[in-house]
Parts: sequence; structure tokens; C-alpha cells
Amino acid sequence: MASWLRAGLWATRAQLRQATVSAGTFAGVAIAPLSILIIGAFMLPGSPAGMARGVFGSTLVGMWSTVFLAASLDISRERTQETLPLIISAPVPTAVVLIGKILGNALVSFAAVAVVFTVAVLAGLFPLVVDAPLLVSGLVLFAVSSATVGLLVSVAYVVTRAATGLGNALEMGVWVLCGLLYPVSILPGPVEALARALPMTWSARVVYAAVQGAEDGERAGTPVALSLALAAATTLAAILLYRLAERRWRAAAEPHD
Amino acid sequence: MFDAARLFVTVGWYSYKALFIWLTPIGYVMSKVAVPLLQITVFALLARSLGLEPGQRVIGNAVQSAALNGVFGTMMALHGERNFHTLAFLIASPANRLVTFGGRILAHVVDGMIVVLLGLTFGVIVFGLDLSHANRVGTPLAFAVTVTAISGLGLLLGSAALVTRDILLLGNVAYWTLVALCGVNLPVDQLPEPLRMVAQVLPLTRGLQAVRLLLAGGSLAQAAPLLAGELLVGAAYYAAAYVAFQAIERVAARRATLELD
Repeated sequence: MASWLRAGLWATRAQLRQATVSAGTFAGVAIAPLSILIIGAFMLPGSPAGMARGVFGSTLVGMWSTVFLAASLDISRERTQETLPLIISAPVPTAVVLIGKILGNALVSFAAVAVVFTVAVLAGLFPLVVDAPLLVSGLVLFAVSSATVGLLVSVAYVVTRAATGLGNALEMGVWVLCGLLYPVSILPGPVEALARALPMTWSARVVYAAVQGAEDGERAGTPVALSLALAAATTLAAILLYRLAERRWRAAAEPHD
Repeated sequence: MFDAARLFVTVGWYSYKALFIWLTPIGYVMSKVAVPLLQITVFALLARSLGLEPGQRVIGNAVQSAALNGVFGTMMALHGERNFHTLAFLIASPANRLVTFGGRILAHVVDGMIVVLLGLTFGVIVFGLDLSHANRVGTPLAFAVTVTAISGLGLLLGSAALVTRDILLLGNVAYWTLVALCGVNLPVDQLPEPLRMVAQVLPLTRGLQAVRLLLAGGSLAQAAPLLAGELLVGAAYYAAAYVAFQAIERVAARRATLELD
């Protein structure tokens, strides 16, 4: 168990070092979020709901994009640079290393919070009254739930090179599904049901619940509990899938395709 | 003249094929179909959640999606020359630079127009977009002008691909700047003055206004000033790209290397 922890921490450390010098990280934490900040803030000028969508929606988009990077393109790069077999054949479960890597980017994802909040304050786009402790809890919860969904997504990228083709569609699919920019209640029935099965939907709701003036402000207890429960279930599913994959790699005497 | 036209079409086709040599069909569908449709959905639903009409966002994002071709496609076509170590041959070739680089845009303009059409069709089906008044001659022309102008920006960024490896970052900045500032999701006059000024020097701003006008049943004569403005902005980017290529080529010749970053 101690060796797993050490391996996970080393993976986090390596990922942090990579992420802090990566142009991709900068793109994830700043470019799309600032663009969405402008859109949300000026789409309906003077509207607290629009302002909340702009500031917090862009923050959540930036956080998820940064986590997604570690779970997708970074793994594709490991494959290209032929370091993926080393990760897979390390004497710890593959999931442990991947959890470490993805947690590294989950930490980096808080840079999106810093970037968006700083620009929003400097541009006078942050007149919202916020329940600060609930907001911090919501953002931490969102980083954790993003990491668990990222871990599940990473299975595809580790198992098959074909997943590289999924590209940004998975990343943007979460924007659509998880209510990062609007309440999921406006999604059609079956899609809304799928959204409610994802932990990020509930943690995003906690973030919006911390904002007075947002249309869907509400008590946060249920979303916090659901987000944690679904995050645990998602992590468990990802670990089981990794174990299944490892068994197949051993049987075939060949890691991934 | 015939040789130049043949070269224009041939390099365009090969460069387009080379761009997707590594890509599976599913990868193509996900990046060229799913991403634009998801982008349309996100911003149309954001507008709806704020009590705004989603139709204008559907049109805006459908047209802006052509930047996947115009910016990323064009840019990556040039970046690919460097990655596949064919840049030296391209620079050493005695062929007309305007034709060899211009040809790389051709397939992206056509493909970009298909992406726009796909986005609008999605808008009709999912968001009930009404295109019954669309000007059937003017609208495709406006698509072509807009995508061509955006490709000028892609070509300029592509020239940067010859001197930097962080080309995707530049592409992302360009792509998301177009999404935020060019009237894709909100009218340009709702932006603060400095951002409005930036919008005026970007491709897409006037082209998108022309597309909206023509889709609402406006005449080609009404849209002509906007399209002329879009062409002018696009031409400025092509000219800047050409000058940048010439400058990079001169520096490369002087240093006797193409490794300029």
C-alpha cells in the first residue's frame, strides 16, 4: 500500500512538472475560459445570472479541460513517446499511476480559478455575492469529480490508440452534459438523466449554489452527497476496468494496441 | 497559367490528404462533426437558459466552426511540412510560393463550407432554426467568402509554425478569439470598445453579419458591402502571411537552416 502511495505521488509530481511548462495547460486554464467569460458576461449585460454563467461557467470549463488533458492527450503523447508501456508494466496497478497523473492536473486546474477570477475582478465583472466557504468546497469537489471522470475516460486512451480520435468531442461533451454553463434541467429528458449520473453535474451545482443571484441557487447538501457518491462509483468503475484491461494485457503478453 | 492552376489544385489535395493520414474515420467524425455540433449546442443552450433566442447562436457557431478548417486545418497543413521533414523540399522548390501555399487552403475552404452546412442542418432539426427565407445564391457565396477570409488568418498562423513548435496554442487563441469577439454568440456592439475594435480587424465579423442578413432573406446587394469588407480583411491576412513567409525564407537562407525556433 505504501509503495502504491509512493508511485501515485511520484506520478503526481512528474505530471505537475510537465503541466507547468506545457502550452496545452495554458490553453486549458486560460484561453477557452477567458473567451467564455466574455461571452457569458456580455451576452445579457447587467444580468446576475449571465454574469454567474460567465465567471463560474468559464472557471469550470477551464478546470475540466485541464484535467481532461492529463486523461487524454497526455496519454496519447506517452504512447507516441513510447513511455506508456513503462507505465503499464510498472509493478503497481496502472490505475494508481493514472490517478496520480490526473490528480496532478486536478491541482493545476485551480490555475483556471485564479486566471478567471483575476480577470473578472480587474474587468469589474465580479459583482456577485458569493458564499465563499461553499464556493471553495464546490470547486474542490468539482476538481475531484473531474478527476474521477477523467480517470474513467483515461481507460479508453490507455487501452486503445483509436481513442486519440475522440479528441475534443469528449471534452466538449461534458460541457454540454454536466451543466457547466446552464442548468441541466433545460436538457431533453433522457439526456438530463444521463447528466444526473455524472458527479460533475452535482459538483457544478454546488458551485452555482454558492452564488447568490444565479437562477438555480439552492441548498447544497444533496448535490454534495450525490457528487461524492457518484465520484466514488466512477473511480471504482475505472479501477475495475483497468484491472480487466491488465488481465487481458497479461493474457495476450502485450500491453495495449 | 494552366501549370499554376494544376499545381494549385494538386498541392491542395495532397496537403489535405496528408493532414488526415494519421486519422481514423471515427477521429474525423469526432473532430469535424461532433465538436462543431457540441459547440453549437453549448452556446445555444446557454442563450436559452438566459431567456435569449438560440437561433442566432446556432448560426454564429455553425459559421464559426469553419475555423476548424480555416485556422487549424490550414495551420496544421504547414506545420505538418515541418513535422514530416518536407519543409526543406517545399522551400527549395522553384514553384510559385503564392500557388503552393494558396493551394493548401482550397480543400479547407470546401470542407469548411460542408461543416457550416452541417451545423445549420443540425440547428434546423434540434433548435427549430428557420431558414425558409434564406437567399439561395447569396448565402453559399457568403459562406465561401467567410471561410476563405478565416483561412487567411490560418495561413498567417501557419507561417508562425515555421518558427515555433507551440502552434496549437496559437491556433487555440485564434479559434476562441473568433468565438468570443466576432459576433458569434453576442452582438459585437455589446462588447466593450477595445474588444469591439479587435473584432473589426478579425475575419468572420463582417462575413457572419452578411450570412445572417442573407439567411434572413436579405439580398446580395444589401450584403455586398459586408462581403467586400470581409474580403478586404481576408486579403490583408493573406498579404501578411505572404510577407511573413518571404521573411522567414530569407532568414532561413541566411542562416542555412530551417530550424529557426
